[in-house]
Amino acid sequence: MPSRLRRNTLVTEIRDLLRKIGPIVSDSGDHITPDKVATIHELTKAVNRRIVSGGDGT
Amino acid sequence: MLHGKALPCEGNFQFPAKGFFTVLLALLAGLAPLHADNPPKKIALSDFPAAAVQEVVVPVPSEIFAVLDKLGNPNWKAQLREGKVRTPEDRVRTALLLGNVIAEGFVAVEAEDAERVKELGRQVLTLAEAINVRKSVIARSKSITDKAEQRDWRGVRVEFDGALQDVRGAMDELNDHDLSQLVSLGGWLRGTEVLTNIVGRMALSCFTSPSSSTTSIAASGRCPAASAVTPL
Amino acid sequence: MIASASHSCRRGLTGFLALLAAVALAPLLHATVDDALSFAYEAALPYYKQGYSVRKDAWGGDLAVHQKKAVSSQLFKGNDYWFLMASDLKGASLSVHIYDDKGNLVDAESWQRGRFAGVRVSPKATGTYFAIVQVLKSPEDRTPWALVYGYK
Repeated sequence: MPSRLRRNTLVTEIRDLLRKIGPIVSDSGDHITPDKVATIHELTKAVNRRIVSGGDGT
Repeated sequence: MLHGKALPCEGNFQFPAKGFFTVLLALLAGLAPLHADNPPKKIALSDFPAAAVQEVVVPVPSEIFAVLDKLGNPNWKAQLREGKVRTPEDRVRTALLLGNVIAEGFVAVEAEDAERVKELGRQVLTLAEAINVRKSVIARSKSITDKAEQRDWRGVRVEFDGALQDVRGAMDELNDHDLSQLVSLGGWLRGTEVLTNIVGRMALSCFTSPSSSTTSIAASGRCPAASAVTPL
Repeated sequence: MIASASHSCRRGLTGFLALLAAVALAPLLHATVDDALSFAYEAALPYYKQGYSVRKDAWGGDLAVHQKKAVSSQLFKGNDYWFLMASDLKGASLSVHIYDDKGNLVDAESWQRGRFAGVRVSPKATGTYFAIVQVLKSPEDRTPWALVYGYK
């Protein structure tokens, strides 16, 4: 990844998000609990808000 | 290798010069029995060196939404994001937003909201313009509008799929490979947000007992059969 | 020195001719793989009419007789898939079958008819699957092939 992208705060946030989601999905196998689904939802929702508004996602 | 090559057949699926073969195939199907060879029940995938395994074809959004069609009728309208997006100043956010808006298009199709679909088609065009790939989606944007007016939802999906691929193709041609990946990532993020919300709500409606938080849900999103419920 | 130069020159000339042949033949090979693709789409047409959406993305190439190739794809539980393989080479015979990531055959049904072959799969789980394509017989050393798939 070029450094201009690596330095981008939004890209950094997305990388963090993927690092969090990865283990949730891989540990769950074919079945995933509702609370884990809710966690993924909240994580992606916050980043999407940032993408749309450019704000802090809160 | 043909992988990734855009062919003009999807959706229309017209073969003006190949009608003969269609008839021939139909005749053959009628006259000749279909044979199946006897494939081994198990193979060692390690027998296929990496070079022999060709690149994975990434699923298009409509392929994923085809699964969701079978979930019954979730409240898709409730998932729609309101308002019009503003074109960001920076290209990174614009690329992510473009993918986000295309994914939103699929949600609007599920909600069968023609006006919203048309609006999103226009937003795709505006955002594509901001990253210099407007030309690649002009025709798609128009088709999205036309097909939404005809309420041809399957057709609209094909156009949104095509818009995503055309934008990525145009960006790759401009050597914007990283931004091109961000478009896909933006779509994945919005899709995941919506789907996890729907699956989460379905799980809640499936299991109302206090112990529901420890009950697993099938990856398909359907309420699992009693035998399939495996507490983690 | 002269012999060496001559040898080097001959090698250069051979390389040049090989390159020229490759350049000249490349469009032919490409054209014939494109033809194979047209046939693969022909084979997919009946399934399109049954409501399957057929992907634009396709795989293709050329194979020797009995040579196998694996192509991988992410398939989703809940969808139903048809993979259709074809060649434009008359007299060729092809086969295609689907295996999961552990190497287990997962065909729901399959057929083989000369230069056309098809297989249906209803994945039990979302994941990576492998279509194993093979040329069973052919009048030529190399047989162009193409593979497309549809889902619903």
